Amino acid sequence: MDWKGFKKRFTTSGSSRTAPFTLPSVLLEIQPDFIAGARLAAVKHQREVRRIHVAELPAQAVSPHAGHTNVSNPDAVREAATAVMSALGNGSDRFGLLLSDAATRVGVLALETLPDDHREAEVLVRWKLGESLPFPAEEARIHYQVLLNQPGHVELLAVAGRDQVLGQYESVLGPGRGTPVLVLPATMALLPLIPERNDAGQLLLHLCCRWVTAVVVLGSRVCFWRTREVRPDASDAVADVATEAARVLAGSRDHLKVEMGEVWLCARPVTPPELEEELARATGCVVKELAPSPELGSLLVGNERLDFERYGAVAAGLARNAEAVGHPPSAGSARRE
Amino acid sequence: MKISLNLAANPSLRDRYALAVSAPTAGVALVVLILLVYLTRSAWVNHKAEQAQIADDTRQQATLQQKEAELRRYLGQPKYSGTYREVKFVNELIAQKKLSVPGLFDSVAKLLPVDVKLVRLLYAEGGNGAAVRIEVNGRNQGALDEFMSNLEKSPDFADPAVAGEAFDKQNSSGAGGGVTLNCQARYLGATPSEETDDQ
Repeated sequence: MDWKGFKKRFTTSGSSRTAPFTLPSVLLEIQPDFIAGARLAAVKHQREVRRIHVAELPAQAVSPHAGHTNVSNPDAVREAATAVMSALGNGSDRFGLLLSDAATRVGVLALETLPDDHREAEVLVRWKLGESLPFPAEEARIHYQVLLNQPGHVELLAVAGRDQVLGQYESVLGPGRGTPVLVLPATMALLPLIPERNDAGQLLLHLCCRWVTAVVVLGSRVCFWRTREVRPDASDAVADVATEAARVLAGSRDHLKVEMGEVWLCARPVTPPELEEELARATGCVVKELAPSPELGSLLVGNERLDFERYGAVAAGLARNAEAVGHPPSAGSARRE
Repeated sequence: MKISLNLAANPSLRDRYALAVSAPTAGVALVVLILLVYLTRSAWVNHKAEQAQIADDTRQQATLQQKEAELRRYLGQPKYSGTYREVKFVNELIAQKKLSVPGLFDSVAKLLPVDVKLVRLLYAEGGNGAAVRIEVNGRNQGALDEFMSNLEKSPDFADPAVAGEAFDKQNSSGAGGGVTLNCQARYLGATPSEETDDQ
C-alpha cells in the first residue's frame, strides 16, 4: 500500500499542486487601484453576470510583482474585499480570484515532446518556465494547458505564480473567510471573448492600472504573451501602449511569421483618450474594443450596468468560457486539450 | 479560445473533508468517552466489591484459624491424648490401607480347611508391621498342617510361625477333642481377589 501517497493526500497540499479549472459563482478581481467582484448565475445552460460591485483601493495598497510582496496594506485590501463580497451577498466559501497580470508569469512553451506521466511533464514545464521566473522555480505553482500536440512539436500555455505571492492574495479576506478555488491573471479571463479567426492573428491588449499585457492569438492558440508596466500619466501610457503594440506586432511578424488581422483593446476602467487612434496608427490594424457582451449582463441596471461595462470584461470572459467548456474540466483533460 | 488553467492550490483531502468529518468524529469520540467512563466506573465498583469480599474471606479465615487453635488446645489435653493416639493410629492404618477388619477375617477364612475352625484372632501393632495371632482348632493334625500350608502360601501374610500346639481332651459324651494350634504371622493386608479384579 502506498502510505506515502496516502499521507501526502491528507496533508496540506504543496506549492506545486494546482487544482483543475473550475468556475465558482463569485469572482473577485484584485488590481492595484480597485477590487471588483461579480456574481455569476446559470441561466439556461449559460452563465450570466447577475451582480457586480467595485471598491477603490488606496494608492500603493497593492503593488503587483511576480516575486515580491504584493499587498502592502492588508487592512485596506481586506476592508475593500469584504465590502465587495458583502455587496455580492456571498454566502458561499468558494470564490474565484483574478489578479493583476504582473503578479504572475505566463509563457508559451515549445517542446519536442511532453511526457505522458503527469509528474514528469510538470517537472519539465517547471524547468522550462523557471528560466523566466524572477524567483526559484520550486516555489512556483504552475499550471499549463496544451495548445498544440503534434509529433515532435508540442506547444503549451503555462502560467506560474509564486506560492508566497498567491498566498497573500488568497488570504485577503482573512482566515476562515473562504478559499479561492480559481486563481488566474485577469487577462487570461479575456481570452474566451476573442472570436476565433484562422486567417490571421489577433492581438489582445489589456491595459489595467499601469500594466499592459499583449497577447497574440492565432486561431485558438496563444502564440505570445508579455506584460509590461506603463507610465502613470495618461498621455505617456498611451504612448507606451502603442509602442508595446508596435513591438509585439513586429516581433510576431519576424519571429512567429504571424500577420495581425485586428487588435483587440480592453482598457479598464476607462480607455484613455486617443489610445485607439494611436494604436491604429502604430499597428496599422483595425482596433476594436473588447467589451463584455450586453447579454452576459442583461439583468444589470443603473450603476451595476455601468460597472459591468467598465470592469466586467473579465467576469464576462469567464462566463463565456464556462459556455465553451460546458462543465469544469478535469486536470487531465485540461492538459490534453 | 477556452481556457482551463488555474493557479489555485489543490486542496488536500484533509482540507476538503476535515470540517465535514470533524462533527461526526467528535460525536463518536464523545460516545467512546462516555463508554469508557461507564466501563471505568463499573470496573471500579466491581473492584470495591471484590475487595470487600476478600476482606470478609480474610476475617472468616482468621476466625476459623482461631477455632482450629482452640480445638487443638482442647484435644491436646491429657485425657484425650490416648484416644487421640489410637485414632491417629487407626487413621494412619486406614490411610495406608493395611488394616481392614472384614478383609482380615476374609483372609483368614480363606485359609481354613473344612475341618479347621477359627477360635481366636488377635491383632497387635508391631515394630515391623501388624502382627496377627491366630488360634484354630482342627479335627486332626492333618487339617492343621493344611492350614499352616495355606498360611505360608498366602500373599496376605508373611513369616508364619507356630507358637504352640495342644491336644484337646474329649468331653464326657465322647465328642470334641482335636488339636488346637496357636500361630502368629505378619499381616500384609488383603490382596484383591480375582473376582474383584475381574470386576
